[in-house]
This record gives sequence, C-alpha cells and structure tokens, in this order.
Amino acid sequence: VTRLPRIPIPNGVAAAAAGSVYQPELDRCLAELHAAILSRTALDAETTEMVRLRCAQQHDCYG
Amino acid sequence: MVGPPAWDAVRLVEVVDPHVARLLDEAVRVALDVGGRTLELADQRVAMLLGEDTEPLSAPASLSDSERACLALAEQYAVNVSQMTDSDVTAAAKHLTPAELFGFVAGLYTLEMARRVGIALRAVLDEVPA
Repeated sequence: VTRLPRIPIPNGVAAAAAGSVYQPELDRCLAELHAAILSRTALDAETTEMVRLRCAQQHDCYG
Repeated sequence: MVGPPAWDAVRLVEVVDPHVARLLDEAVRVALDVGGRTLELADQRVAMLLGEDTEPLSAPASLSDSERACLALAEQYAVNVSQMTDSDVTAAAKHLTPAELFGFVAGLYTLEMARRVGIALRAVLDEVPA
C-alpha cells in the first residue's frame, strides 16, 4: 500500500488542490459540505473526538 | 436507478440540518453527473455490501472491463478503504484518465457517505427503511 499519489498531480498544483483541477465542481461541493459539517458544534467535545478517531481509523488517515 | 437511496439520505439530513442537506443534495447530483453509469453501478454494489435493499445488479456479461475494474475498486472501498492496494487502483486507472478516476473515486466517496449517513439517521430517527 502506497501513500504516494496514485494519479499524476498536474504540474504546479499542490496535491491537496488536485481535485480542483480534475473535477472542480465536485471538489467545490465536497469542500463546502465538509466545511459546513466541521463548523457544527451540537456534539460535545468528547463525542466529536470519538467520531474523528473512528473516521481516521476507517480511512487510515492520522495526518 | 440508484438515486432514491441518496435522496432518502438527503431527506433524513434535512430533518436535522437543512443547510447540510442542501449541500449534500448538490454534491450527490454533481457526483452522479460526473460518475455516470459506472458510478451508479458502483453505488448499487455498495448498497448490496451495506445490506441495503436495491434493484438487481446488471448481469456480469453486460459490464465492460472498465466497469468491472471500477466495481472491484468500489467493493474494496466499501469493505475496507484503508486496505486499498496499488493494484486495485492501477486496474481502474488502465481504463480511465486521471480526471475520470478522480471523479469516480470522489463520486464514490460522496454516494457511499450518503448511504452510511442514511443508515445512521434511520437508526437515530427510528425510521423504518423504505
């Protein structure tokens, strides 16, 4: 399993912004959806952290 | 057609957060537009793996090599995305441009998320699955 990019990153574009080059509309939609979800504060801090760790485990993403 | 389950998730999110529901609705629409038939087939496969009711899958003989590779990738994504291998991705990448592969994976992420949100909200809101 590699942690390197599996599709070529366009020249001059940071990896994190590759989506805005390949599928800009879908990338924008997902960015707005993520921002809205992350801005929510209804859950208490402990539950929020449990959810975050669960998602990180699921996606093997601890960065 | 595999739209209804995603729309069902949007309807359930609307109950708890109308703004997020609107954004999810837009993301699902764009994802389906980008991903086309391959993403619809993948969504059906994911629905089966998640135990949701769905229409019968297309007969294997009707699938192209590209669709088969994308469905295999979708299966691994739904079962254990952290164990996605290079060969899983390479198999799909042989048939798709980088933009198409990015769009398929981003669309798969969107629809799989919507299905899981729908499952969770049906449980939380004590609704009977449609």
